[in-house]
Amino acid sequence: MKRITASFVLTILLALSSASAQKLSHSGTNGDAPASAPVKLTLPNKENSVRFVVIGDTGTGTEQQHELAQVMLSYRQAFPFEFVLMMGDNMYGSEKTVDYKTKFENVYKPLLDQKVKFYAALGNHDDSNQRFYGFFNMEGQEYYRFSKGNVSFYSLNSNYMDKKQIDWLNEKLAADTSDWKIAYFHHPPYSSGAAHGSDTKLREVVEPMFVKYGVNVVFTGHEHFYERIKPQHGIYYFISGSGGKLRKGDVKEGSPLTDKAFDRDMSFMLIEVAGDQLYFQVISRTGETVDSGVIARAKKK
Amino acid sequence: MTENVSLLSQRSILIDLETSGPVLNNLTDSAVSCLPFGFHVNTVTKTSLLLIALVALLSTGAVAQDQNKTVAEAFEKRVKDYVKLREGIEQKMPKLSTEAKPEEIEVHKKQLQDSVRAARTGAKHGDIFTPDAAAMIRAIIKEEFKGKDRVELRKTVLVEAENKGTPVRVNYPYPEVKELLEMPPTLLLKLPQLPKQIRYRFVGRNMLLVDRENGLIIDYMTDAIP
Repeated sequence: MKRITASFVLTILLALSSASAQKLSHSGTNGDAPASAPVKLTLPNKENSVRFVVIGDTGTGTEQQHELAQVMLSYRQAFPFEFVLMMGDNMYGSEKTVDYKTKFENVYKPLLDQKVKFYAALGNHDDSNQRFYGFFNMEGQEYYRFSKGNVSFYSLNSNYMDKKQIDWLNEKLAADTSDWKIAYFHHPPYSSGAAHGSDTKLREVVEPMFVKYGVNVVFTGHEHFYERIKPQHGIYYFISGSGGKLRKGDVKEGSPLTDKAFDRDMSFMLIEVAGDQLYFQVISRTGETVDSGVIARAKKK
Repeated sequence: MTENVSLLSQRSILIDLETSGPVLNNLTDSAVSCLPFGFHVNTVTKTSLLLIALVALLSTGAVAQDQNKTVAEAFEKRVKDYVKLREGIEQKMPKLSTEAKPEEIEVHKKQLQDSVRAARTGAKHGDIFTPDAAAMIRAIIKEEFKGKDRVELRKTVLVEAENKGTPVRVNYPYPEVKELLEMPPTLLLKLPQLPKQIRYRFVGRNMLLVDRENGLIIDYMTDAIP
């Protein structure tokens, strides 16, 4: 705890009210979001910032998943995000060639055409062979690291957190000098979901490493809703698991873990890392902003 | 009061019981009450009995540990033998690129599955999870999941899991449409370590060994969940 205080004291400032919203008009033609979903950006959209999207539990190929993808596309006009982090359960059910098309490629085709890169994590419904799939950019690995600007990303396989992976993570984190360290994986260490809830066994193993090496933010899925967890040991945990499925009303009311939750519709997250700030905005399938804010990273002493 | 102990052991132990306190005496009192009638036991003897029992207990633990180590090593070797066989097959196949197309992934998986199945036609339940290995693993799981943890595990694996009805047959594929239940990391750290290609999986009360690339069930053991 002392170490956290010394190196990374994070404070969160809700920006819902203060952020200046950018409004764009829509043509409603093919490739755009429905006219009923006006784009209202609360993110600062600064030059040279790291911009990305977080989605989870997408792989259904349903009409609703398509609609959410359309909203993502609309927001890209205002906020040109470079890549998308996938929280796993990238494909439900069978994983034949046709499934890769209907549950992923067709849904995100406009984004893929715009050269938006997807970086996937594996969920409990995903075949390990997805790691070879070109569009998932996993380089043949179930867990991997990449960096963008001053941010390190750790895509982990929470489905099978064995000794090999733990050793790898320890080694990589220990050598990481990036300003921001972001981990993402499928199962949430903290959750207010009635159906699943917190994955305490996973937490027991990964959280001490996150704390020790100063991981700032953790994104997960598995729960089919959005939840922003109250900071735990200086770490900000988010659940974004309603990219293709929704478990309506699953967040336990009055949960002491919840800072903000949204379980009435599907959603995705827009993230912008600019210097010592990480801005986030959560958008629903109907284009509503359901949460937003900024996390400030304290400078290293 | 210092005495020479000679009742049960010729190798005497000099012990000052005055400094050992009443707790030791109470403990040994109950232990010696099991001795045959008329067997004279003094306080020093009680202490020596306790020590002997302690040594016996420790050596039993050490023997059990050695046995577990041997069983685990033999289990790991059997798994490695499987990996050697499937690696030999995979090396003869075209390598899957890290930028593969879905059709390439599908073909590669099917080819590897068919070839390994053909090479293991005689494989049967218990080849890898031999009775001693299965017993050791059951004990590890039982030890890891107690009380509330056990209730949670049973709820996750037996109630909530979306892999019910999965046919568990050696040398047959784990159905692609079924959930691959997360394995608790704390348990994975205690089980015998597997090569990267092989995974432990729970299906109902069974524990399976599944090949992550071709999806084949290599072997399984029953009654894994306590």
